[in-house]
Amino acid sequence: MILAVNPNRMELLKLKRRLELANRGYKLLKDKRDALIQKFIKLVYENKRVREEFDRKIRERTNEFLLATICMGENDLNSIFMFPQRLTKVKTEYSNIMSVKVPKYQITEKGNLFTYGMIDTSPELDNSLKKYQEIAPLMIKMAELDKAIVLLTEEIEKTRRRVNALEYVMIPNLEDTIKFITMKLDEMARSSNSAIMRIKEMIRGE
Amino acid sequence: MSNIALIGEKEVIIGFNLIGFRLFPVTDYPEASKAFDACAKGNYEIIFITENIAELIIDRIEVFQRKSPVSICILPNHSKDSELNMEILRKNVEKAVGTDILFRKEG
Repeated sequence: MILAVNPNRMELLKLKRRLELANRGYKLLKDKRDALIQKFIKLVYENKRVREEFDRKIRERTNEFLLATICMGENDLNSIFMFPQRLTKVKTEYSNIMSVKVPKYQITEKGNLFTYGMIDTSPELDNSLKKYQEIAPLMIKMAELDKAIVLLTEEIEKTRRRVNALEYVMIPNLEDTIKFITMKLDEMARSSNSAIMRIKEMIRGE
Repeated sequence: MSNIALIGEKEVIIGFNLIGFRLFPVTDYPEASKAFDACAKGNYEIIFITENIAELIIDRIEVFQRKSPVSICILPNHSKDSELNMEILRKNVEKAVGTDILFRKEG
């Protein structure tokens, strides 16, 4: 499509500059898209691996926990879990993947894990709680990867749309318009040349 | 207070109480929706949701995951494989790469 501009030298220069810029931007964005996809695929495979590991572990833990608590009444269970002392927190830092800010979580734990009496509870409960604590970092890692994947997906989609817009709309339009203006200018030069020649003939003929 | 929240069925998530996560025990859609609102407004960095509950409010989770800096993670069900998670992952891969490279069926 030819852009709506006046066919003169000024516009031609401007358009040529814009084309150069568009080409440079296109190359850069294409590189960015490729790098993002490379990183994304790595993250996806890591996520899949972590998730499968977590799936396996959480299933074991939950079953163990359910078995350990199966003989306890609702009230006993509630009293055990009523006053947790332990505090697990995460500190968020952001790392930069091709200008996408991806969170990295640092886990901090403090306080005592076992806050219940020993008389009414079974050793299985202690064990299953300990194992819950072991899989907490894996959970945090999973959350981190999930978020990174969502953020990268958005960015890749955005970049791809820009690359396509440049490749299939902007650059062809600019090229068409430059060609149109060049032809128009040539045509004008030719027509003024022939007019001069005609006038010259007329003067010579007198 | 912990900045990790956990929404789910009480008997599944109660074990995480002593580890120091903030729990939101729920059973049905209105409760889940309310707990999710509370989490979204609270000062949490990570929200974990068990798969059964996540299925009820999946639309809201997806929107929230995209719009806010909070990370939402769906925990698998202890009795079956996590299908919802893989479905979300597959959707994201398809959106980003254009084709399903993870679970592509041959032939």
